[in-house]
Amino acid sequence: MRPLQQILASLCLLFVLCSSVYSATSEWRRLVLVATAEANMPPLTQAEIRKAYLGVAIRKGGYDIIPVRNVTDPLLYEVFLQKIIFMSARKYEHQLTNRVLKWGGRRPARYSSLLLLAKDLKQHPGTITYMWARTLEAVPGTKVVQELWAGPVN
Amino acid sequence: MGWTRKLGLFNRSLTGRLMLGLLLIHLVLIPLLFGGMYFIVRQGYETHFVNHVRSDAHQFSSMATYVLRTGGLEKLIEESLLTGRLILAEVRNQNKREIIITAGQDGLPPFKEDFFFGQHGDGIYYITLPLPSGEGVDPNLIVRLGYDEAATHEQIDLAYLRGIYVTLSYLLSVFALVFFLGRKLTEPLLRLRTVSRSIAAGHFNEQLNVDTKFTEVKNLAEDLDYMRKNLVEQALNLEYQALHDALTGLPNRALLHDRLERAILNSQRSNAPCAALLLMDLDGFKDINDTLGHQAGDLVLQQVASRLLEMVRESDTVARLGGDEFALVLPLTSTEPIQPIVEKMLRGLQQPYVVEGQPLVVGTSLGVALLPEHGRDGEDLLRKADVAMYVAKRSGGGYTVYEPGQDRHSLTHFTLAGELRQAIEGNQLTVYYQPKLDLKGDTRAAEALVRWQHPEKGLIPPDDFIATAEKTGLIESLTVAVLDEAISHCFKWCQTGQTMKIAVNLSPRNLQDPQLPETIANILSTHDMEPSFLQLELTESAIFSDPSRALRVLNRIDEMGVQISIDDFGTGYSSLAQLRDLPVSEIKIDRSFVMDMRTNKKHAAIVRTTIDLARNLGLTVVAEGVEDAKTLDILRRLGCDMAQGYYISPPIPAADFEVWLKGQQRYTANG
Repeated sequence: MRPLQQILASLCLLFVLCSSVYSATSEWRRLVLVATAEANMPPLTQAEIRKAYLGVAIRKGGYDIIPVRNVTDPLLYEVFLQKIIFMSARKYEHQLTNRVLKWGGRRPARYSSLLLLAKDLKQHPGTITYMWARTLEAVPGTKVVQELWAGPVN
Repeated sequence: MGWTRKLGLFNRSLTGRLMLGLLLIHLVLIPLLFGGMYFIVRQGYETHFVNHVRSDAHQFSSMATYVLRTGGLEKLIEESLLTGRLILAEVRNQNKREIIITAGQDGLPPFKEDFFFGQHGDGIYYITLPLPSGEGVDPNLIVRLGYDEAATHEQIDLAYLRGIYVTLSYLLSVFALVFFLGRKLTEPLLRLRTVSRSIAAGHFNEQLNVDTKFTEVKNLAEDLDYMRKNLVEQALNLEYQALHDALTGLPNRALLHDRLERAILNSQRSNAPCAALLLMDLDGFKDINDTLGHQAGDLVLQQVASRLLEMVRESDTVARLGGDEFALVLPLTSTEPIQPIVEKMLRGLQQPYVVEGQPLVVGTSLGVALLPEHGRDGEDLLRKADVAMYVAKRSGGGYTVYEPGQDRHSLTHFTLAGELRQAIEGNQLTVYYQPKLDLKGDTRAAEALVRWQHPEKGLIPPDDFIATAEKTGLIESLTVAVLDEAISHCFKWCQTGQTMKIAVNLSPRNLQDPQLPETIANILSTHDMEPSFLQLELTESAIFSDPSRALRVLNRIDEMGVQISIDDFGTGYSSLAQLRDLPVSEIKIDRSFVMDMRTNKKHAAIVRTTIDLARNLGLTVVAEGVEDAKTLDILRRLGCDMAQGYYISPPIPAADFEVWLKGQQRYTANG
């Protein structure tokens, strides 16, 4: 076998192995609602979270709830949309825009950086967001308000 | 031609290149465009599906909670499954891992929750939702739903296929359009190419009319047409220059031949006269050039040309053949006589020409040859018109219509030149002597005049060959021959006691020869002759065509002791101031004044004045052209020094002159 064919064969084998490992791996994850550690944020109902993220003003435990979106991980975002918002990403954007235009309010900010997200959480005690429980360590100064969902993902 | 060659040619054509370029562009653009469209459409379908699944699942879970309390969960699931999109519905207790109710298609792949469309590639979008907690509902209950992705996949595939069809249709349309436009573009270019080739082949008048809407091609066509027009203009200019005389603007010899050939073609159907060829030259034109300069000569020629043009009809052709020679082709009707036309023309040409404010009378000699009477060949007609003109010139100007008998009297220029050379080398030339009678004393003098004794044509007068000798450069050897013979005779006569002066004519060309004084000295030395016995006669024009050079030569001749005489005095344009500076010892009054001085008072006054002038300047004066006793008597009374003319003696051979001398001697001795 010639060297080029050997290389191609090796790459194909590697690809097949990686694919099988990926498809076989099923990881258990927890989706949690977080706020700054300084705030004493009470747990929110799923309906309240959904409303807040659809631009409806919510006040709970003396805090004006300010939702922000964590888009650092596409899977995280899709799980959040599926379990909490019950819409596709595009429909959610569409709905949010419609609502803000018709009824006023604010679109939840989007953060693709955990550092910036943490900074925003600290700035306002009523700020909430969602993330994988295991990524909490990467965002110091935050605490879990409640678990939103737990289940296998791959 | 093989298909590969055809393909190669097509590839090198403009249409081929356009299509190839378009293909390359589309090879890049189409995947981008198609890929982009496919991505957007697919994403739209997938998003729509996911949105539907998520909201439907949410609704289902809410309704399931409700019907759990009221009963009818089975019915809800059954009806939901009827839609076809939902293919699995299951309610289970998560803690107890117990299935409360399940329904759906058999043989479904294992449940793996999806968060993206087609995430697990099993064709089903599985989703789990908790049943909303409420009174009488176990909070650990969840609902598992499975939605069929096949319909959305089919829609995406259909969109993909449609996309391919649209792209192919687009490509075909574009290629057809480019092919059509390419042909539209290349058609005018091909037409331009054809016309350009035609123009290159000499068809300059083919117009470049290209019907196109392409500005560049239109501009190219206009530029090519502009170039064609310029070429036409240049060609016409060149043709005009090739066929016309630059000085007068008249047709030249080449165009005359063409017109003559046309006239000949027209004459071929009839024997009646249908055209006349007139050949003319100006008498004494050379003198005008020599004395007034070539600029004046050119002005005369231009005036002659414009007069001729004024006198002819539109159908006639006037051409200048060169020098002072003109030719006319006059189409005639069979009944139209040529004589009145020619006479009218000559009358017009005889009017004085005004050059630099001076009126000049220039004579004209004109020969006429008729077509077809005198020939049907252009060269032949020209030769015959030339013969007739020669005859007219010999007879002192005017016109002559060609007659067959004139041929033997005419000599073509080249024949004459060749024979003259032989005559000089073969001693065929004879010198005649015309006495110059001394009206005051007993000085003997004579003028040597050359004659050509042709072995076949007999005696040829000097007028017939001197001009040829001047044109061909034979004049120098002719002058030397005459000088040699005249000095030889003079020496002989001196030896026998007949002491006398001998006069020899010099041509203007002789004065341009710086070696002339040495040549004369050598001849005198050869015959051991005194220079004072030799006289050289020159016309005014010979001196004043180049006065400074003439003066240098004449001064050297004068220093040798040879005397100089001005011949034909009064016919030229010499200034008296210049005459004063010349080493001249004698002037000869032209015969035209002397011959009719008895009847013409003006001429008599000129003769009288010239005699007075010569006397005052200390010059000897000779009257030429004395043809009767009364004229001789008047000249004697006016104080003229010498006389010469037919009354005294015509030019006679040397032997006869010796007899005349003896008779003269007796006349003088007898008082």
